[in-house]
Amino acid sequence: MKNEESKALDPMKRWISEAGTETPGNQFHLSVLKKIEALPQPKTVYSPVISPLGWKIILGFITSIFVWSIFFVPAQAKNSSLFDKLPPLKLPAFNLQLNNLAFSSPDLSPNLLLGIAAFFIMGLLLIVGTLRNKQAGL
Amino acid sequence: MQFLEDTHYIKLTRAGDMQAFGTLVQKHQRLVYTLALRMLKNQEEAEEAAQDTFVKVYQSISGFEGKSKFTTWMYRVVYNECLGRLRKTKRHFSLVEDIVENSDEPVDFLDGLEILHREERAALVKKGIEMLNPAEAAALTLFYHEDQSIKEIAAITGSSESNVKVQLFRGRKHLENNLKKLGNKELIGLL
Repeated sequence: MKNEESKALDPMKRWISEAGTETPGNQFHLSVLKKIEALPQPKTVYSPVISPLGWKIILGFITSIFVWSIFFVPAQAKNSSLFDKLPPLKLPAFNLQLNNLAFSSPDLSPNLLLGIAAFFIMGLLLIVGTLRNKQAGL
Repeated sequence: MQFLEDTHYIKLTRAGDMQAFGTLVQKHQRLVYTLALRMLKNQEEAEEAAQDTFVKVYQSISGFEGKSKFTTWMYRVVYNECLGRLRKTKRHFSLVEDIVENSDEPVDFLDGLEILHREERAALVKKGIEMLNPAEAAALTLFYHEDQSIKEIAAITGSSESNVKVQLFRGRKHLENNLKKLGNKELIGLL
């Protein structure tokens, strides 16, 4: 308080106040904004490790496991699975006979077909993922 | 032009409002430019330093925690910017003692200064400040013009409070001596 009073009475304070502030050019603040706009943008663009599509696939996979476990797995040993209720897939029999040579026809059960389908879906996901990574690299 | 509190503009700037930052620049440009000019003694360089100061303020405004006043933080940026420029160019300033030694002092200088017209006195004081070394000019400007406390000046300049007091004392003495020298011609005519 005492310092403030002595400062107010100080002739030096009055003289320097009288000298006033200096004024920069009229376009000063516009020049500042231009400089800011001209700043280089950061080159590194951070993308999430798991893309939104990836999250959707993961969510779909978890949901499918959940649905599968609810509807397709029999609750008790005596109960029949929904797989058993699926109509059997009848593929045309491979019937080629050459000099008494017979080819065996594969028994494509629903479980095997599901496994084959899952294998191809996984393979497709791997290919799509690789292609996306290559594009990101470019 | 009426301005709002700094915190209002800072908040908007952080949200990406460039216009708010432009207003913040307009609010403080005179004080920042004045401090830069008092230290650098060159209008063009001072304007450039002041602009660069605001760019730096913009770049680091998200890191401003509000522990100190915004102006104190901003003055620290401009002080360091000017100091960096002075170091780069390795400029040397003429010692005030050398200038004053050869001058003829009037009998009652302070009373004589009061006789001068306000505009003449203001011009004289500006010239006197211009002759000070950058650190003393900054300390006097911050203390008398910007009404910063010694503690705040110490935070701006990165010096101890005792160092700031010494700079203020020496700055006052040197400014008085400069004014005596500069005012000789005017006052001799009036006394």
